[in-house]
Amino acid sequence: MTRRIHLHAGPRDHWIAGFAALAIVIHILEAGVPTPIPGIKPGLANVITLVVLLRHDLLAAIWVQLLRVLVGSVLIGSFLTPTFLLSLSGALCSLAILALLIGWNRLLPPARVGPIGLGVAAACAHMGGQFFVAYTAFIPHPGLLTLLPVLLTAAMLFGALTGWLAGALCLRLDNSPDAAAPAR
Amino acid sequence: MKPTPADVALIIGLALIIGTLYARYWSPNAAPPTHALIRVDDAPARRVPLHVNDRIVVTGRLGDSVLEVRDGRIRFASSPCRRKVCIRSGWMHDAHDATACLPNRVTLSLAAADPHYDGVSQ
Repeated sequence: MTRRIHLHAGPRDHWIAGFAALAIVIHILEAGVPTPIPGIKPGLANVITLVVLLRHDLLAAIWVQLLRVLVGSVLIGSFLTPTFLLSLSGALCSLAILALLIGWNRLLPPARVGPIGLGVAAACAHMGGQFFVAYTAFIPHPGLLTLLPVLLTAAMLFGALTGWLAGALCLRLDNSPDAAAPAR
Repeated sequence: MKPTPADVALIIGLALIIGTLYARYWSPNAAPPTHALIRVDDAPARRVPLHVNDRIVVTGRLGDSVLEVRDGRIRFASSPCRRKVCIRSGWMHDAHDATACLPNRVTLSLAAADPHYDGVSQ
């Protein structure tokens, strides 16, 4: 006996897939840009994650982020390699921090963390988680620690940039006459 | 797009953490020195461990320089030079500290242990 399972993609699935596709394209374009120090890259794909988080909800942002890591690695060819594990651990850490900060914003609306703060915190958490896995699992050498402050400085700068971009993009989307009400 | 006060507080907090990390890993005395390198003229460096208190006599162009090792530090105790710059520079105790007795062609520098591996891949 075989039973057919019907999966219906609702409108929410469609727009999550659309945002994830955007993030994947940015992720792959960025993978082609050479960087001076391994581990430093702008992380512009996170602009999409942040926009989804700001305009929609945390669950959608988690979907977009994890789909981006998974499909991005399959397309680049790094699926299940150390690079993928680093990328995944970084993504999970940044999502955890974003979840915490969203909770904070709900509890204390006057002391809200804005897009720039979210971007910086997510980028630093991403770098921190990635570094922790790299240090404990792959290269347990004290020399690696020398890189940590440099990597975190870069994460902070690029995090502020992606946060600012995400915030500016949200403002534009809110004011755009073409923008339909955020799909739920 | 302007940062909120919470954003500013968050960024300052992270900057403090990163600053501490720089102080911890980028200051010159991050790793304590384990041995001294003594060079006379063009001869290869002689490695002297710093954990053993000792007096070391090296013979340079002018005569014997005496180096004293005590409690992980090292200094020129005496040297046949005229101005005694090497002796006045006192105890060397941080990694990459260095001094020299140029008239006697003796140089002294401190170094941390060389790690055996650059990294381990599993």
